[in-house]
This record gives sequence, C-alpha cells and structure tokens, in this order.
Amino acid sequence: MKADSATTPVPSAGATSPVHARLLGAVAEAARLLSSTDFDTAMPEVMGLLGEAAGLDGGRVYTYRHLPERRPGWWFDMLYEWTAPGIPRASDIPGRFPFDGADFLDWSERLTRGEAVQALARELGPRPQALQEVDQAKSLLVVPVMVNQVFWGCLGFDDCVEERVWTEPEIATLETAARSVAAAIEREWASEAQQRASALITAIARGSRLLLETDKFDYALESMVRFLGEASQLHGRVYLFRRVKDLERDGLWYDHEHEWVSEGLPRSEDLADRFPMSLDGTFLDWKDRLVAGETVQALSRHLDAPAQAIQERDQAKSLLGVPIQLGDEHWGVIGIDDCAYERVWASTEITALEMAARAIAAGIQRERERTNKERYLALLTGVSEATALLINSEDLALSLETASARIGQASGLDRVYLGEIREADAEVPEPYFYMSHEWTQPGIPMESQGPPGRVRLDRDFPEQMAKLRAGESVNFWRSDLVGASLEINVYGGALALLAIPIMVGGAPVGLFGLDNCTEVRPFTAPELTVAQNMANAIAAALERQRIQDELAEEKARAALAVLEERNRLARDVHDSLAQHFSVASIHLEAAKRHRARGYLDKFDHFIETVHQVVREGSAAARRSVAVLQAPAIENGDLPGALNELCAKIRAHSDLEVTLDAAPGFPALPREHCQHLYRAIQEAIHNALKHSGGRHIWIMLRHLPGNLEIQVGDDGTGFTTDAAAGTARALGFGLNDMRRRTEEIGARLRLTASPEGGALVTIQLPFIVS
Amino acid sequence: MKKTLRVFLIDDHPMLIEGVRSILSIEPDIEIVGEAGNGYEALQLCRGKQIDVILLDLQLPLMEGIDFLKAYRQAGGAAEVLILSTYSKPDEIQQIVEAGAKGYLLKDSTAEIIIEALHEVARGEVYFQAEIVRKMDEISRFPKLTEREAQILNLLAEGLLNKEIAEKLGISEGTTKVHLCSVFRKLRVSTRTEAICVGEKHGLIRH
Repeated sequence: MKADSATTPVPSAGATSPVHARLLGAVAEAARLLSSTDFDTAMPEVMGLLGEAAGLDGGRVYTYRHLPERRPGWWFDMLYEWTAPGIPRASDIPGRFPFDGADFLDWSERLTRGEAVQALARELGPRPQALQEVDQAKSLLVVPVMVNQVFWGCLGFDDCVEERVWTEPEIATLETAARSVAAAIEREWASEAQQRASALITAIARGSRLLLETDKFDYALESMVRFLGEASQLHGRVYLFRRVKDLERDGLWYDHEHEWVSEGLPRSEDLADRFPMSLDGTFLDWKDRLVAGETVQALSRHLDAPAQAIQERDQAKSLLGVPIQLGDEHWGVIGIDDCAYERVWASTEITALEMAARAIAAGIQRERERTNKERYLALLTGVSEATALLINSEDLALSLETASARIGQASGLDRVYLGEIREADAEVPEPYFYMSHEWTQPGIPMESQGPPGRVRLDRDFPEQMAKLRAGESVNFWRSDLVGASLEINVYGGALALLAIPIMVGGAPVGLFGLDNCTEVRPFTAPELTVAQNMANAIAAALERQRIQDELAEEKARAALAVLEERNRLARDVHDSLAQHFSVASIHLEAAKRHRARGYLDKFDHFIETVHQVVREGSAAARRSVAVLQAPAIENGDLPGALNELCAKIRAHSDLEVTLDAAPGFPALPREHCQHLYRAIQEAIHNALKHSGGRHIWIMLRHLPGNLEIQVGDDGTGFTTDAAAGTARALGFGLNDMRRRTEEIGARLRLTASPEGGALVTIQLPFIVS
Repeated sequence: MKKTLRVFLIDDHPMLIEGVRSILSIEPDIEIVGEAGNGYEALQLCRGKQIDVILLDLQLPLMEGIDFLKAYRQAGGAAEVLILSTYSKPDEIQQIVEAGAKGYLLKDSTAEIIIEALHEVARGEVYFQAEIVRKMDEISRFPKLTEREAQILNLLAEGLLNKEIAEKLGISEGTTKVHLCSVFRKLRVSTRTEAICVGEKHGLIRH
C-alpha cells in the first residue's frame, strides 16, 4: 500500500481552475478505484471519470497499449475508450486496430521518455489530420504510461469541440493519473510474476527430483525444460544450450540440447544452420556476463542488428538467459523467449530460474561422475583383457593388433593405436612416429591409411614431445598440432588425443595413443592411470620379445657353431680319407696295369703300398675323430680335461704330447672351459695336420691378472707363404679359435715357437678374488 | 708309329705322383717330362719345356691348381691341362673350365681312363668324367643367387645377426630380411641353419 500513498494525490486547494480542481478530484477517485478493483473493471470507469472531469463534453478518453510488433511502424491496440454522447468511438472504426502510429513517430521519442505531448489537429501533418477528421478531434493530449520505467502505452484525450490547450497543472494532474494506472499494472504484473515464480518453483522441484533419481539423464534434462515451459505461463520457448568447444574457431559456442515451445511457434532447433551458435560480436555483452555466471535479460528490439534478425525469425520479444555453472566452468545456459510481450522478468522469477540452473548443474555433475566412472571401468576392462593377451601370446605383433582392438571395443574410444618412435633415417632426417597398429570404430578413417606424411615429433608437437621424452603422458587437442600430424589428424577426425610414451630402458621407444573423435574432452586422471598401465604392459611385452629374440639368435648361433664344427669334422675326415683312397686307387691301377703288361716283378710292391696307405688312412680318420670330440668338462677342471685329450692323442699316434699345467690353475666357469678347450683342441689339430712335427706341448700358467695358455709344436711352422698355401684349413681353424677366445674376452696370438714351429698363445684376464 | 705324348705331373702327394708315374712309365707313347709338388715349383720347371699335357691336382700348397693354371696361361704356356683331383665344388669346376682346363678326372679313375683322357686332351678334345659332368649340370639348374644374396648368405655363415649383416652392408635390417627371404626361397629352406647347410653343399659359401 506504500506505492498507493506515493501515487495518490490528495485533492488540494492548489487548483488553478475549476477544470483543474475537478480533475484533481477525478484522479484521486481513479487512484482509489484502481487500487481497490481489478484493472479491467476499474479502467472503463476511470476513463469516464477523467473525461467528465476534464469537461470533454464533445470528446473522448482512451487507453492505448503499445504493441511490440516486429513489422515496421509503431503499433498500438486500444484497450479502453470513453466518448461523450454523439462522438464516434474510434474502436468501432473497422480496420483501425492494431493502429500504426507511424505518422506520429516524432512523438515517440518524447512519449517513450515519459513526456506528455499535446497538439492541435490542424497543426498535424496531412495524414494525421485526415485521421482526426474521421475522429472529429480538434485537439489531442497523450500522456505516457511507464510501467517499470518502460513505455507501456498511453492515456489519450481528444477534444472534438474546441481547440483546447491543456495547462501545465492540468497535464501534471493527468500524469498522476497515468502513474496510478502504471502502479496498478505493476501490481498486477508482480502478482502474476509471484504466481509464475511459485509455479516455476514447483516445476523445478519436480525436475530436480527427476534429475537426481533417474538414470536417464537426458530424459530428466528434457523434462526439466518442459516443466519450466509449462509453468512459465508463456507464449514462447524455453531451451537449454550446452557450451561446446570449437577447435577451429575461438569464442563461446553453444549447441542446442533441449527445447520447449508454445503451440504454433517455430522451434529454434529447426532454424537452419543455427547451431553451433556463437554470442561473439553480438548480443550485447552477454558472452562475458554469462561466462561469469550472471543472468541476462533484454528486449529483442534493444539487441544489436544481427541478434535482432535472429529474434525476428524466432519471434521473440524478450529474452532471458540463466547461466549453468559447474564451479568455475560455464557449462551452458537456460534461455527463455517471450514471444507475446516484452516481458521484464521479476527478481522472484529469476531467483527461481537460477535455482533450476543449479539443479541442472548438480545433475550434470552427478552424470559426469557416473560417465567418468563408466569410462574408467570400460577402459580398465579393455586394458585388462589386452594385458592378459600380451602376457599369454606367442606372437607379439598379432597380440598387439588384437590388444588394440580389445581396448577400442571395450572403451568405446574412437581410435587406439601403437607405434614406434623412430630416430632419423634415410626416409625422414629427424625423429618421427611410425604407426604400426591401429584400430578404429566403424566409420572412423584409419590414419595409417591416410596421408603419407610422417609425424615429425620434435617439429609437429615440441611441447608434448618434451613431456613424452620425460615419460609423461600428454592430453591435447587437435588444434594444438601443426604440420603433418595436424593433416593426419584432420583426416582421421581426432578431436581430443591422449598419447602415452612406451618407455624401455628410460627412453620412449614408442607411443600408445587413444583418440576421441566425437567429443573434445580431457581424459580423467583414473583413465590416464589405466592407459599408463597399458603402455607399461606393452613396454614389458616388447622387452620380453627382445630377450626372446636374443635367445633365439643365441640358439641359432650355437646351432651354427655346432654345424660348422660338424662340417669341419666331416671335411677333415673326408680330406684325409680321400687323399689316402686316391693314393691307394692309383697304386691299385698301377698294379693292374703292370700285371696286364706282364711286369709282375713290381706287383707285390704296389699291393703292399696300397695296404700301407689304407692303414694310415683309417688311423688318421680315427685320430681326427678322437681329437675333435668334445668331452663334458666337470667342475671347471680344464687341466684334467686336457690331460685326457693328450692321452687320447698319444693312443692314436706316435706323437709326443706334453701338458704342463701350473699348480693351482683355477677352476673356470663352464662357458670359459668349453671355449678354451675347443680353441686348444683346434690348435693341436692344426699342429697334427699341418706342422709335420713330432712334439706338441701345452702350457697353462697363472700370471698376475692373466691366465696364459700356449700350444706349440716343433714342426715346419709357417711362413706367410706357407700360411697362404694352407689358408683354407688353417684359416678356418684360426677364425674359430679367434671367435671362441673373443667370446670369453681373451686374446689370441699366433707366433713362431722357439723350436721353429707354430705357437698359439691365449691370454685371459683373470683375477683371483 | 704314334707321336710320343709329353706329360708333366703336378701333385703335392709324393706317393700319388709315384703311382701315376708307375702307370704312365710303362706306356710306350707317353713320356714324363717333369714333376712338381706345388704351383710355384711347377711354373719354374715347365718353363722352356716341350709339354703336351699337364696333369694337374687342384689342392696344392703354396699355389693352388687354379692359380697355377691362370699364371701358366698368363706366362704363355700352351700345353693342354687335364685335372686329376679328388672332388670339387661345382663353382670350382666352373672356374677351372673357364681358366682353360680341357678335362677333369677324379683320382679314383682307372688307368685306362687316365691314359685315354691324356690322349684325347692332347688332340684338343675335352674329357670330363661322368660325375663331373653331372656336377656341372647341377650348377646350371641350381637357382642363381644375386650378388647381394650370396653376400648375405656368406655373412650368415660367418654367424652374423641380421642387424650386423645390415650394418656391414650398409642397408636396412628390413632390406636384409627381404634378401634373406629370397635366399630361403631359392634354396627351398626355412631356417638360417638349413640355408647355410644347403649353401655349403652347393658351394655358395666361400671360406
């Protein structure tokens, strides 16, 4: 009632004229009527009171409501009209309303500012004059009604009898009447707003419960929007816009999520090419205010031109935007368009709608946590399966392929890949990435089949690469990339990327990557941990494969060594036997030939030679086999094994073989024993075959820091020429001896022995601990 | 009366020379004009001598048979050369024929064959024992390795790993594998060890 007391004038003795005095009384009565009766009942009576008090015996009083029409012009509807007897009612004139005040546009500025305007009909332009001729008005007074400081409409006073000029006090009094009307409207609106706010709160409570209780998050959001629309008693729309990240363009972008519209209005969603939409460069300063969490509202006609054009299509007359904030993050906006009135939202309604925004934010947060948990579980499932595969599989390449697919299928991510970080090579002169395994969801292109460019790691994403080298995973957007890697990811459609280094021996040898092609979202910390585990499992599998390869190579080498030895043994035996058999054969032929020719005297001689050669041959073969057989050396006792070898040689030949092992010659590891034994055996064999000497000696000594083994003979030795002559056999034996001694870190020298034969010296660094 | 065949013997095994000498010395139309135990000695002794056929062993100390043959031809020696040796790898036979030997006998040939071959070769004919012809045939039928493939097979036989082979030849490991696969395919083998065995057997491995 406070407002009433401010706007209700007290009839005073300050009246300047009888008309003024009557007007003061009428205005007081009007104010009482407006505050005690409902607006629609009071207004016709108020019109009459004012008309009679003003003495408009031949005139009319009316109430115009301004219509915020989108079409050009200045549109009004007539709500109430009083006319003196005999004066035509403007509202009865066909086609008069809604009325375009375009011809009175020069009045609009003053009126919307809240100033009254009066004029004589004959002073108006020709078109307004013509209008007044129909209305029979000779003078006009228009007093604006400002509701909440906004031009709502006006009270009009036509005098159809005389060219009346209204006095200042008269006008001031009528302005008081207009304020009473405005106050009544404001009261009406406030009560409507109060009702709407309470309806909204009921709706929000329903929507919040749904958001909290249902698993169908999207359905709950849609319902909330619908509840708000139904509760708002609105001819218009309620919508939910979600903020989206646009990688190609800066700024604030929204996509359309849900919308409720009154019957007969277009859905903003259906307007072509609208989404995603940006608030940049238009919509006043809304972008910054919304991001900061501030509710914004405006009348369409106050927006800048591009935004107005949008609202023209949407038919919105007023707009409201309530931001949805998740902590500091601006998630999106609840928007409300009023397509009937230039609604100014009351603070109670805004408070209610901000509650709705908070409820939605809480629902989103809960949904986000749930989704994150699901994603985490899905990725964890995929990674567990993939890890099991890697551990159990024999074929690494195949299992990596399958592992990528398992992770992709389980996690729902769009691309899972693996590849090597390759150092500079002939193809690319700097470190680059080579994708070796790739899995994509159906419909997502394979990057490994895309553009042929190589991702040059240090050039295409230096910052990320520095982290990868340090063993850290990197989570980035496609827009962070340049060069070939950008090109490849544009082809592959990746938006958000996660790359994890596969670390072997403290350095990244490859990358394990996960791409999201549908959403620009960061990977969560639990997801990173799981992905990191996968990279570790891959690193372990690679390492295991490398060790297996090495073992296989080692086995192959060992097999090769055995084969070489066998071949050599076979060749030795064969060479020796073939030589003896050839000689025997030739002598047999000589014997036959002599007998055929009748030279019988030499026959027995030939036969004896053949017999001798055959005996020598088989002895040589036996010796070769005996010498080249390798015994198992027990307890690292090299001197013991050599002793047995010497005994064997002595048994098969009449050579003098001596072994001189220094006392306390240490027991050696098995591998060392085998290699040393073989090398010594080879040296003896060479001496036997090539030296032609009578004495072979072996010496084992323990020098400071060294074990020294020597094999010498008193044969012909070898000159460079001689060495060339027997290069095949000797060379081969030497190579084998070198290989064996190098294998255990020993050194081998071939020199002349003091007796003039060959001397093989093997030195093995050895320190008694 | 047939013209006397002048023969020079080269073998490092004295007993073998003795046997051959025993066979040829009782032939009325064969005269042994000299003997040598290695290639060097032979080059000295052949110089200035009237020789129709040289009976040559291949495995000789100081200078092998093939090297002697080349040096002898280089020095303008015109005698025909008949190889009398134990066994040979196919590629050695190829080389010896290319160097100008007219015949090849194994040391277990009968005396009749040795004598017949000496006469044939002296007349300018070729004389190869059936076994040698078979071996030569084998060479032509055996798939030829490219130079790179042969190189890789030899390095393999030296016990080098793929990576080491690649480094040595200055090619990538991948390329090495490709060549190796091709070697495997040509030799119809599936492992490194087998490849070395087969390569060894067919004389593709040089020592």
